[in-house]
Amino acid sequence: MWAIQTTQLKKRFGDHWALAGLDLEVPKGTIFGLLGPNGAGKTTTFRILSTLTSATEGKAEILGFNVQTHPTEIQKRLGYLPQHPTFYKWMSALELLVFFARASGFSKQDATKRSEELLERVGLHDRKDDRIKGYSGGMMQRLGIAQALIHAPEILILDEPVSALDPPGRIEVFDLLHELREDHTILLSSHILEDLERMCDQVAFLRDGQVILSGDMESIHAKVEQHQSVSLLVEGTQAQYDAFIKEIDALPWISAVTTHTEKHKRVKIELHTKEHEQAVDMLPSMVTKHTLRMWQLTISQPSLEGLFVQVMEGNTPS
Amino acid sequence: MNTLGLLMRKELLYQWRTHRLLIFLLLGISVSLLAYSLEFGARSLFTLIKESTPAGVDLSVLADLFSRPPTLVGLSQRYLENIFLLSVGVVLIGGGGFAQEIQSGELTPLWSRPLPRFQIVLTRWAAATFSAFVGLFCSAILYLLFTSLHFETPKLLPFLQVLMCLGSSLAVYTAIVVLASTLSRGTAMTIGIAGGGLLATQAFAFLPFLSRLSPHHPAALASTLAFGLEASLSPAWVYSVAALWMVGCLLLATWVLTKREV
Repeated sequence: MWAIQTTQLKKRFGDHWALAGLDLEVPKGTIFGLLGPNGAGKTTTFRILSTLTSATEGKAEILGFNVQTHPTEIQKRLGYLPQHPTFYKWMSALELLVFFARASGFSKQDATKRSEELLERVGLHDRKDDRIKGYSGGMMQRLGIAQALIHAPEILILDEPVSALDPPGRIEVFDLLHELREDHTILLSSHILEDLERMCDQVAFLRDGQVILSGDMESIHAKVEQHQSVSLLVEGTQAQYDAFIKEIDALPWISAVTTHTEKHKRVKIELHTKEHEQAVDMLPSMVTKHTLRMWQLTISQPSLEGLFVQVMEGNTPS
Repeated sequence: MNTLGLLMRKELLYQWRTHRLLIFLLLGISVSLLAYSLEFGARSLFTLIKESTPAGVDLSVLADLFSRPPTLVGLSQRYLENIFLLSVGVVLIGGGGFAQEIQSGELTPLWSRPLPRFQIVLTRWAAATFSAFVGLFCSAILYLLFTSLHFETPKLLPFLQVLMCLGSSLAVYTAIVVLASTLSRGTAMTIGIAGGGLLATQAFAFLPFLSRLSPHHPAALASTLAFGLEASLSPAWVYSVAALWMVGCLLLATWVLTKREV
């Protein structure tokens, strides 16, 4: 059974379709990352799943409960952290968490105990009695994570959970999410793709309100490997460069060639290819043939960020 | 504690921490102090003006207005007129409400919890009404003090009836403001919609069939009872209509909030 499943989910704002038939399947017990540029539909998806807004068309289910027909069942099982969490500024962090815990059925004693524990976990225990009015963006985000966890939900939806945190804060939050992965399903988005790559079991790329690529990190990496980048640093005359580039441009297993002028009149040539072994075998002899001097040959495995850029430019790997 | 009690506690804390309770308390004191000052101070002020005015200047117009001695009827009339300050307070202070919370995102965490939404609206209204009642109560205590000092202690039962009418009136206005705050995108817009709505409902009084359904009847009944005049509508009818307005506004506010993108 899927923890979260959406089928042809659509959401329209005026004439604009924020979601244009989103199909998403999040297995139980995974950390699932949602990637996409601004306006891709990530926050809209999260808001529909959190019962804050309704879909125009399509179906969304969480733990088998339909979001539109069983919102209360979902609210009991789901913790949501909005992209820019804001809370009652006239309350203290402890008062806020105790209020949410009690609203979820905890006794006063249990609510206080759980709130104190969570404030300790997110590093706000020292400021627990301060009014939220004086909190920084990072503190607000930590409090947001604590409020999402307060009722011990099975599913967590975190919209940019670390965007306002400094590097140590990000590490703390990710450590916390690692601990939670054992008995939670976590759906999150982040602009820091390096973090998602480290954290997530599965990811989905969104563009224009649709999933254009999804899978576990291994299959995504397999797709990344198909598009390795080979870079050459060579030295020679302009005529030699032109002849060399013309020849490699004609090779069928090279998809794209870019050049950059470097120091000492050297030129860096970058090639995108699936056949990197063939490239390593052939390129040195081609360089010699054109009497260029080769200073460096590097094969770099593109990061998730590199793949993100490719996917968003429309170069979806097959 | 059930969710209703929990939400009520939160809303009362909000009224206290954001100084709304204090503002209504001060407004209530102002209502009676202003009535007292106008009734008792106007004559002294007129005497001062008369003494400092050169001979030959005609002050007969002012004399008609201000030279009369203070009376219980005058004090009561001014008190009832000044209750308007509390109504203005309800519109201006209650103006933020849901609109502000939706705009800032404060309502999002509350809205994603399994809390009955009518209870959220109901407790918001109840706490705001409580603050207005605190103001009304303070004004009433001071009014009783002034009348006891200068005239005679008013009979308690009729006075309580007047207070009940004034309280009902404030409760209806608060419900209208809560509804307005769900329809708006900010504090200023809420004040505009609520103020406009209250003015528009004044028109009910001039419509042949709808006049009996006006939300302003409790305020009118208060004036009638205060001066021992005969009421055109029975108190039971007035309270029923007021209750209908309150429940209607709160149900509609809940519906609007449920449909709105929070």
